[in-house]
This record gives sequence, structure tokens and C-alpha cells, in this order.
Amino acid sequence: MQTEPWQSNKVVFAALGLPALLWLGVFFVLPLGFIFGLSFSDKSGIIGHDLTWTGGNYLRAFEPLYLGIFGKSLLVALAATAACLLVGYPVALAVAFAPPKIKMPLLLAITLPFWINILIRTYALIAVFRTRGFLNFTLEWFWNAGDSLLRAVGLGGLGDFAPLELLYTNTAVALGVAYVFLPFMILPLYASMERFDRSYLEASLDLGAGHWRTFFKVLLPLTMPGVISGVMIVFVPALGAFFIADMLGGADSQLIGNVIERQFLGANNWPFGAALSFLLMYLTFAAIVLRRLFAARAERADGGGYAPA
Amino acid sequence: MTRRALIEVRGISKHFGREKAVNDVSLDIYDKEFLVLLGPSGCGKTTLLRLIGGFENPTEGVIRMDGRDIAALPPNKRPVNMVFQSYAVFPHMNVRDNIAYGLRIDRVAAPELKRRVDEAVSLVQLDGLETRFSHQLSGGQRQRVALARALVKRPRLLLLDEPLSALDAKLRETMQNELVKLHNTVGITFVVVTHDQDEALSMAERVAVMESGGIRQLDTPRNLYEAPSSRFVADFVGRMNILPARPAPGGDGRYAVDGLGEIAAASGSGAAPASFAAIRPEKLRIAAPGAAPSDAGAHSAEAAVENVSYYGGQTVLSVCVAVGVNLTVATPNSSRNAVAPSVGERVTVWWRGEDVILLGE
Repeated sequence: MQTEPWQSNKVVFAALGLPALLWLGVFFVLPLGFIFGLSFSDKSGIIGHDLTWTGGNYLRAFEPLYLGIFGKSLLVALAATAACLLVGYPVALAVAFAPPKIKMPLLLAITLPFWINILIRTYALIAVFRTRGFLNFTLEWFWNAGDSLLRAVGLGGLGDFAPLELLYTNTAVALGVAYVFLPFMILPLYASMERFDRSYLEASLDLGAGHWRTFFKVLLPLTMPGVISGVMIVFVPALGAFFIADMLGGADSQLIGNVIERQFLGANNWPFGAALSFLLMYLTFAAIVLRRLFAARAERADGGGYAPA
Repeated sequence: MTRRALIEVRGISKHFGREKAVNDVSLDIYDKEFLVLLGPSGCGKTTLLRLIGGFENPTEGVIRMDGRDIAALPPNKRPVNMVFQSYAVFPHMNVRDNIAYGLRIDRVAAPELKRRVDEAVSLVQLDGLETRFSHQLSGGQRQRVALARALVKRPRLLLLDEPLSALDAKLRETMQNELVKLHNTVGITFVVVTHDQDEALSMAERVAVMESGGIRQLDTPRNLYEAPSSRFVADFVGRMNILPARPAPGGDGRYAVDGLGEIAAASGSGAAPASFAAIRPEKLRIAAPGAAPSDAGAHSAEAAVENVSYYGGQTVLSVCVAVGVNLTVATPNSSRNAVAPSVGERVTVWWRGEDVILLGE
């Protein structure tokens, strides 16, 4: 790219960059520093904190109770990410390969949920998941249809329909997280497939490969950058999600996000909440670093060649 | 001599919605021949190639290979391989893995796989580049990978979609020769799609000129150039002066052409009744005004030079022989001291009667 004159003018460059820098400084770096300090503080009185550089807040996070919650959060986030990937990949593929005329409406349909408040969407899920909800109605209909069919052919019935107790379980939380973050998985996948040269698939077929082999040997490796972006974009916020667990989860569905929220709002223990927040952040960093390491290894294996960016 | 047809295409059509990309095409592709499908963009040549490769299902018609209908076979079941316009060299595999891809699918045993890959690598002269990745290769090298990857499968038929269009002019010429050499070495039928007529003429044994979904002429390069059967082919292949022709009063197969005078229908020179007379620019000669042509029986016309373009190897003149009738004349610069007439000069243009082609509508 050619360097425009304004790019080399330091004053103009600084003037253009300053608002964003100020914004980041005031609303990101400063509060983050404040929370970092808090995580090493002791409570004093009802609202006061003293910075004592104590490690107690962090040590408390390693109590089995909180470790268990960390573990569960990780599991729920992983399950939700896996569900997003399994559902999102075929959808992204279908949109990317759809005729140009219906591509835009399809993309619109995928981004449509963004226009509706996330709380309302989550509340709607309650109507779907509850015992007398839409999911169970549907299942019951199929069950009864199967039941009468089996009776009609004289194979005996299926018995009474037992509705699934989904709402207020960890499954409901994972499904809810997957539902809320699904568009974030589809869009990066779609972007990587949109750029994908169709003739790679045709070349693979031409060389004798079937559709499965073409998928695993050509399409999947070449869309891996999109898969990794999608997984990161879903996994990281899923790890910290709290309101979905509040609304869809039961007593056993407390995620680390809920604990942090409670420390700040209910329990009024800001230092412990801060320590948990930072631990969550380190966990996220670890995921990003792991990804970088894998990318670097793939690059070395290639002799400095193709790597999922 | 009748040659054995490897592929018989019979009445094949491919419609995309209301657009007829290929419209009722029939054609025989001989065993071991080098056939070029030539045409302007959108003429259906790539669609025809993709129909033969199995990447499109025909709307109508059959494609037979060795007498067996293959129209329903998917590309991975046809003994046909394709070199794609973009080459489609897999970017996540090195050269060797790209070439071995098709053999691994066929479960070729390791020692034979190695032997055949090595053979293919040296056939396309990629020795030493086996561990490179696509982005570390030049366009020409990428093309060789695509060629080796297709040839290593030992197909009966190799399809090449605009194989040289992504290369620069110098490399393109080299690769034209190499493709012909490769064709002679491997003894496989080649079908090449191109829009470049020089490429088509220099490489092919036979050329099929296509326009709006149909084949207009299927012939040897020489016949295509010297005896085009239609106005479209005459105009599309090479440069051609095309002038309207009217039957001359008195009949007996003579035509009146503005600027050229009366001409007789030479034997074997196209359709009757003709609507156009055509002559190639290099078959017109320039002489001093009033000079007698050095050939007995030649025709001549007085003309004024209107434009002179110097191309190095030749100089191309535009001369006016009658009001509104211009002829393009190509004169070879066969000597360093060759002097071209200048703009405005009067000259005599002369030609042999047999070089004028009569064309139908």
C-alpha cells in the first residue's frame, strides 16, 4: 500500500489517533488497573478497600468450591462452543455456497437476532425449554404420532410421553449460550468460506476424492482460520457469561460469571470478585497463547508457509 | 484417414436458467489428439469442457467415452483429469503431497506411489521443488504442479481450462511449446480451452471455434485460417479485411466488391451465394503507384495511405481504396532498411485472386 502524505505527518497522525487512545486509556486501562489493584486489596469496612498486596483473594479462588465452578464454566463454554461449531459450520457453508440472490437474505436472517435485546431472546428460550414449553410440545407430538403408528401396525405403543426436564439445568445453560453466540460463530466461518476458491473442491473431486475426503482433506483445513476465529469469539465470552445461567440455569448452574457478579453486587466483596475476574482473564489469555503456539508450530511444519491466521 | 473417437459428444446442451451456455453441440474427440476449444468469452467453451469433465450435468444430450455413456458419472469416477484456470494447487500441501493426492485416493502402494510421483515431478521439471508450498512457487511452476497432479493419475483425457492465461507473454510462449512436447511424450488426449487464437493455432491439431454456445467450425489450424467457413470465424481468427460483396451483373459466379472490383469465386473458397469477400492483411502487397504487379494475373487497386503502424517485425498500413473502403495491409519488414510508405502517399495495392475468400452471411 502506498503511504499517503497524511500518514507520514506525525502531527496529523497523532491528532487522529488521540481520541481512540484517550478512550482506551480512560475507559479500559485505568479501570483495569483499578480492578487489578483491588484484587490485591483487603476489605476495610463496608465500602472501603486497602491495597495490602495480599494474595488471599487469589488463594481463596483455589478453594474446591470455586475450582469446581471454574471447571463447570469451562465445560459449559466448551460444550456451547462445540454446539455452535457443529451447527454453524454447515449453515455458513450453505450461505457461502448459496446463489447470490438469496445470500443477502440468509445473512440478514443470521444477523437478525442482533436487533432484538439479548435478555428478551433469553427469556423466549424459557418458553421453549420449560416442561410445558414448545420443545416438549413438539417432542410430544412426534412421540404420540410414533405411538399411534406403532399401535396401528400392532407393535405395541411407546407408553406415555415423559416431558424433558430441561429448564434450570446445565444443559439449558449450554444450549442458551450456544443460541446467543451462534451468529458469532457463523460470521467468521462464512467469511473464510466466502474467500474460498471453489476450484479446490473441484480439483479434489477431479483427482478421485469423494465428498467426505474432500471435506476433511481440503475444505476443513483451508477454512481452519475461520474455525479458529469463530471458536475464540464464542469461547471467550461464553466463559464469562452470567445472565444466561441466571435465567436458564438452576441452583446447580452457577458459572464463574455469576460468582463474580455476586461478589461485586450482592456479597459486596470487590477484592475477591476482582481476583476471580483476573483469573478468568488469565484463562482466556492462556487460550489465546495456546492458539498462537499451535499456529506457530503449524508454520514451522510448513517451512514458514501457510498458517491459519 | 478416419481416427478412432475417444469421446463422442452428441447433441449436448447446458442451460443456466434461460441462458443456453452450450446449445446442441456434437463433436468427436480423437484418441491422443490435441484439440483446442477457441472462442470469445461467454461462448460456452469452458462449459463444454466442464461437461466433459463431469462438473456440469448436461441439460440434454450424451457424452460417450469408448462408446460408454459417461454423462451421469461424477468427476471422481471419470478417467478424465482437469487443469483448472486458477491451477487450484492445494495451499496447505507441498508440491509432492499435491501430486500424490490423487494416488493416495487410489490406494497406490508406497513404493509405486513414490516412483510415479518422482516420474511426474521430473516430467514437468519440478525437480528440487518437491517440498515447496504453492505460495513459494511462480505462476509457471504452479501450473506445472497442476499438470503433474493431473498426469500422475494417467487419465485417458486431460482437460485444460485457459492454462496459460495467468502467465506473462514470454512464459506463455515457452509453455505453449512445452505443452505440445508434453502431449507428444505422454500420449494422452489433450483438450485445451483458450480465447487466445495464436495459442490455439500454434498448439492444436484441430481447433473448434465456438460462438454463443455452438461450434462454428472444427478444423485444422491451417484450414481455419486459410479457409474459414463463416464471417464469424474469418473475423475471430487472425486479422481479416471483410468487405460486402454483391453478385455482379451477368452472373456466372462473379461478385462486385467496392474497392476490389469484380472478383470470381475461386474454387473451394466458401459459400455461394456469398455476402462478403475477405482477404488477409499479409496477402495484400504494396507497390509504387502505377507499377505493374510482379505476379501475372494479379489484381490491383490504386490507394492512398491513411495510417501507418510500426510493429517491429511488420508494418501495418491502413489504405483507402475507395470512398469509405479501407484495407489493412501487413508488410513484413524483411530488411533493416525496409521503408514503409508514409501517410498520404499514393500506392498500388495488389493481390492474387485465389487469396480472396467469399463468405456467406
